[in-house]
Amino acid sequence: MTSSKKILSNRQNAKRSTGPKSHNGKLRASRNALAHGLSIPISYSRGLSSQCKDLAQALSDDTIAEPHLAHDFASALIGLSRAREAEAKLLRETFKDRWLINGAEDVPHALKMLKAIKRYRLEARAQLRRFFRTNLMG
Amino acid sequence: MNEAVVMKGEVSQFINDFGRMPLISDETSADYEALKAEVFKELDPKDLFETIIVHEIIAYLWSERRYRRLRDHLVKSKLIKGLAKQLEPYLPLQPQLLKKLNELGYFYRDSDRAERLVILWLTKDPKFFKDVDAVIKSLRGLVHDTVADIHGTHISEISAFEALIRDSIRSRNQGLSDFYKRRAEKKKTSATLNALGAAGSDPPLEGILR
Repeated sequence: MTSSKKILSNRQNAKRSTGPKSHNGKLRASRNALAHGLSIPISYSRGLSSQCKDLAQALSDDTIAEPHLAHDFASALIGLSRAREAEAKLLRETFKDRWLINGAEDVPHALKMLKAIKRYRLEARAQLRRFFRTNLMG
Repeated sequence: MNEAVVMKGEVSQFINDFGRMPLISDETSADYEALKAEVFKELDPKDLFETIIVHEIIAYLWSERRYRRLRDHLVKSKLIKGLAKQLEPYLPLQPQLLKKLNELGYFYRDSDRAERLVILWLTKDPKFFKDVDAVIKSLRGLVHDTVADIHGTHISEISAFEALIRDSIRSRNQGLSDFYKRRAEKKKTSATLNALGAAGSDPPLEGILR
């Protein structure tokens, strides 16, 4: 059980965590969500959303009768493609030079980003597996 | 894609694109296609869903290879830097080697020349390998000490790559298990349907007509 003293000190410390203060810090933090772009839902991106709609339509005409299931399936597939593309883009930029003579110092940052991208890839994959489990495997 | 899998144009186009892994430097689409052909031949997907699972398995196999290669690149790059640093002071004692390097047009600073020599040694360049190897061997334990140093200093990066490799293997195995589960389920369903269909047969003709 956490003591009331500890709770109080936690609350006071938390008040200090108010994000970046300098102009540069704020500018940098404002770009956090755009690091790999995967936190933006598919429905918010015009291109991906229309691709998802078209694929769902084609699937429901052809393979999956229920439109909402076709949409879930299409969105999982697009999520996976998007994560793979983001990963490749990051690695292409980091490992431009095969021997990493000038650029090995970027590797720790790239690995941190890879870990974040992996989370989105796993999320999309879990969505796909849920679809299979619920609709195709009884 | 397997010819037995028939899909509508748009879906087929998307699945084709889905089965195309975005490549990075050092990877060729010919290698990816070769891996794809091998896995498709082994698993032989029969419908859209099986095809997607197989594409996922291939993508994770590819990722596993990719992470292994990148981990090795990282170790090699540190090895180049580490060995070059150690070799640099001995270069003035190797006029023959430097002359040969100059003939190739490497008129760089000592540190760059040392890096170049280590790369030529790592790629087993026939013109340089023997000479550079002799210098490296004369500095006893140099390679082992440098590798040990790299593992000590860059343990977090190497471990992160190892974790990514393990995750790819796990995901690939999950995909394989999904594939076989689905196939078993499909077999069960088609056996049930066959039995239901066969129930309409005239008993004396069972086993004669299929």
